[in-house]
Amino acid sequence: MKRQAIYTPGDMKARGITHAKDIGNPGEYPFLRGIRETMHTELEHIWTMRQFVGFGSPEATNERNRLLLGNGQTGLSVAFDMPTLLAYDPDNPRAECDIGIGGVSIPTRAAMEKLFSGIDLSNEDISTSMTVNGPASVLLAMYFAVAEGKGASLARLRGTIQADPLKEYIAQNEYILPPRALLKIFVDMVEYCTKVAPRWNPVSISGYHIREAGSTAAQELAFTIANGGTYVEECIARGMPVDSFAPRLSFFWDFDIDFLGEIAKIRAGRRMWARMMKEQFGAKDTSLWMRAHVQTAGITLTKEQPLINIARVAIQALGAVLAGVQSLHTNSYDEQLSLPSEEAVKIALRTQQIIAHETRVREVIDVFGGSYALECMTSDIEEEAYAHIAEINRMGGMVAAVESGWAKQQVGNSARQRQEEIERGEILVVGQNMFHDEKAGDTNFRVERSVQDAQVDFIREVKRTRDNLAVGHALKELTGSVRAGENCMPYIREAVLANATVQEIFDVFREAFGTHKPDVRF
Amino acid sequence: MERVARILFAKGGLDGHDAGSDIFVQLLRDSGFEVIYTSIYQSPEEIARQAIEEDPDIIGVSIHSGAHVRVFERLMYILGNTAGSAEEKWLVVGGGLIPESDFPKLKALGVREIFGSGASVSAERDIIPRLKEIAQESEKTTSDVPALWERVRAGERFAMSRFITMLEQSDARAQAVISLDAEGKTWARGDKLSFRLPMDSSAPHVVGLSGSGGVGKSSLIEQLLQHLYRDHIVAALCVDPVAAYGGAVLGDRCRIQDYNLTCSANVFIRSLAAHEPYKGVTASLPFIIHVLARAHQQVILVESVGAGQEDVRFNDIVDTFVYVASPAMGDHVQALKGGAIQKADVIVLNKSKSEPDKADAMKSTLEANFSHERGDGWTVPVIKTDAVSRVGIGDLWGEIENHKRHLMKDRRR
Repeated sequence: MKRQAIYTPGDMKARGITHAKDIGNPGEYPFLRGIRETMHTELEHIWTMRQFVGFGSPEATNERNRLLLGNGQTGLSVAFDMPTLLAYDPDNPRAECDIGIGGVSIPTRAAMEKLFSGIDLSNEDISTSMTVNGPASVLLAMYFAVAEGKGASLARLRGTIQADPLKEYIAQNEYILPPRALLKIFVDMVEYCTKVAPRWNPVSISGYHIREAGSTAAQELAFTIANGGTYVEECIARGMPVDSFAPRLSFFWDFDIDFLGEIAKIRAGRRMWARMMKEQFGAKDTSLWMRAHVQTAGITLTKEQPLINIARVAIQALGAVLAGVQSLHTNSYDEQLSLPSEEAVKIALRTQQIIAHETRVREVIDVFGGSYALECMTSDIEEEAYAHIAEINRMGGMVAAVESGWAKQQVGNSARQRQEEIERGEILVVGQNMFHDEKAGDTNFRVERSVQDAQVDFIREVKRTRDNLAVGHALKELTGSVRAGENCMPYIREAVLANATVQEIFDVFREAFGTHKPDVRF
Repeated sequence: MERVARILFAKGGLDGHDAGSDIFVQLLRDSGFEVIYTSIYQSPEEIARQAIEEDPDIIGVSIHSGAHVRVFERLMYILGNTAGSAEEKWLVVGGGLIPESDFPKLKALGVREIFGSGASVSAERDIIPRLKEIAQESEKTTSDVPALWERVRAGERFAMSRFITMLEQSDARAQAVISLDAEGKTWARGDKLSFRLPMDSSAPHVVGLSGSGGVGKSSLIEQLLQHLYRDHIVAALCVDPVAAYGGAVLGDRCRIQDYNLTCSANVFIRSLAAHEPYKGVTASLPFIIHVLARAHQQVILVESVGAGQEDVRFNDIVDTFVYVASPAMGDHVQALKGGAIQKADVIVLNKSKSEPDKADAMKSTLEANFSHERGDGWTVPVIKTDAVSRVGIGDLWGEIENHKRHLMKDRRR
């Protein structure tokens, strides 16, 4: 997207942008200026401050969450460790090195209970987002069981689970199963939620990971919208009317350091989604809303001179708010070095609070609306994304694009180009290829070996004391349901209630569907 | 020929961040390295095991997950406690998201060097030249070759691997041991020594798989290994061509990845790079097969892209030559005539589930053109498989075994 030094009314005209057709008003189709009429202007309805948290033991994570809630965080967001995300129990040798390192270890309902100890999930002001994909179905069932145990009504329970299959094959590699198997379970989850938890977001359609893997902004936009469209098609094919599930599809964008470009991208996303839902699927009302969570871009943070990351995150967070998002995570300055320290995560939260309570930007909706520059940049990136989508449609859609490895290869090409541009100094990074001083930051944050061992001890204890006949029975029923092609969620729920582990449950799917290997092409 | 540095590159522990490593592997290749890329989620046990079988000059482990201390601890422990490997001065290097305060701990474990990460560390400027320097320290030689051979005869994994390395380096002592061992069972073709053990019940069944790129040979190898490994001692040799600048990505391990195979006592896997002019077959291949045979392998799978050239022909080296095609070739079946497929003993149509109708049509075409009764009484079968869906593997192996029975009956090779 070639950026102009100045944009004029003539540029708007040249692009055929009109207020009536393309810009409109907040709360009105095509929702370019915001999904709601009031957006952040009412303090009770500003974006959710939702910091992604998780490390070591459920107890430690619980403590960090309570600290953040006490400091004004308004939503919870759970980071699980790699063993959990790949459905390996802590007592599996493959899990040994990684227990509790990148997130919290939650292999059983009992662990999930510890995670939310002292947190009142029946309070409807609290919503939880869980970042998990492969075994999302299992973690969702665990959360529902724990919430119900605390007196929450599933019918009123709010929250989100990431559970976005296609981007795993493009970027994050946490699929475990082959694409069509994971898609099937995804549709099961959406269907289940429309029936038992209608306020729950059963998916967070994500661009973040695609962008962090090195894609361009236009690719992030295109692949995310295309993935979303695929999910809508799959759910409709299952027999669900579009308006029965679409209002609960949520999104997750990256916010890179290209301040203006990223605002344009998010606005374009809102308009593209609204148009696709209306024109392609005949959806109505809130089905047309792109409700978005944003995380400031991890890839823009530097190890060198880490404190300057605070400035980067502040700029990115401001951009996300100006772009009109519903939920925001701000990175901690030390995240390139390790899991965030208490001090660093507080600064990240305070950054959001300064924007919300001091800057007054939330009092005016969509400040860039009508701006020659931003409206042109929004249309430009939209056009670029539509070109990518057309290419995807020519090859048969996103599932084909993913299965053939094309999507991953596109991202890989962009990543390589980005790397080369940084090395040539065409992309400038302060503290790295300019104003570089030799000292890199360091960290004192470690997950102790004893904490890792404690998770192994705990799962052994759970396995020893639970009703193993009930577990065996539940897993057998789950296996039967897979064979019969039924919705697996009720069966996962039974298994979870009996304290079957995430690995035990997911091994049923591994057995049935096989496992998938990453696409590697040189 | 100047020895190219060989590097085994893995993402250690449950680390799935492959965006950067995919780029890094290409840069390594373009700089002349032979890269055995294991892909993501490699446990220390798997890395150690692959290192022992591939005998690389450098073991490179990249970790962005934060689990580096524990991963390197386990890795160095296993390397230092496995027969043969324990005496090796392994050159292990680390990279990724590793805080500097952890460098001393890793160095104390025996990690040779740790590279920082982030855009200020340029792979091309900082890391790769340093890796080339470190590779110079690699010593892949043994003073007592006969003693090493005895360990090969005893079936020791590392000894097999080191012997193969020496053959790949055209070590004359190693070649001499093989020639002596094979005495009386050799035959000369032109200037080149080419030989196989006679086909009898104690000799391994050497099965070669060849075919164009993209037909799924690696996936088939994986499925054959899965089919065989519980009841057979089986080895797989995976040959990849060298790229333009002399480097190579030996990527078959990526596609064969399975803990059960990587760490099974019954399985041995080795990646080889084919330099010109052998086009998919290495000059040392017959010698390597001999090593594996003497180390009690019962089945030896050899996977290659080409079918060799005049003097070192693939089907001379193997007992059963399997040619792999896929429905994507479709209308180009005619172009196969006169090529390697004519020498095939078994023809496989892989990826048959991806386009079932096309597959059926192609099977008929292949049968019509190539499934002839040969003068020796063998009719070349065409088998449909789909490796990814685990379909047809039993049938394929059945036909391969039929061919072995035919050879033994016939006393031909």
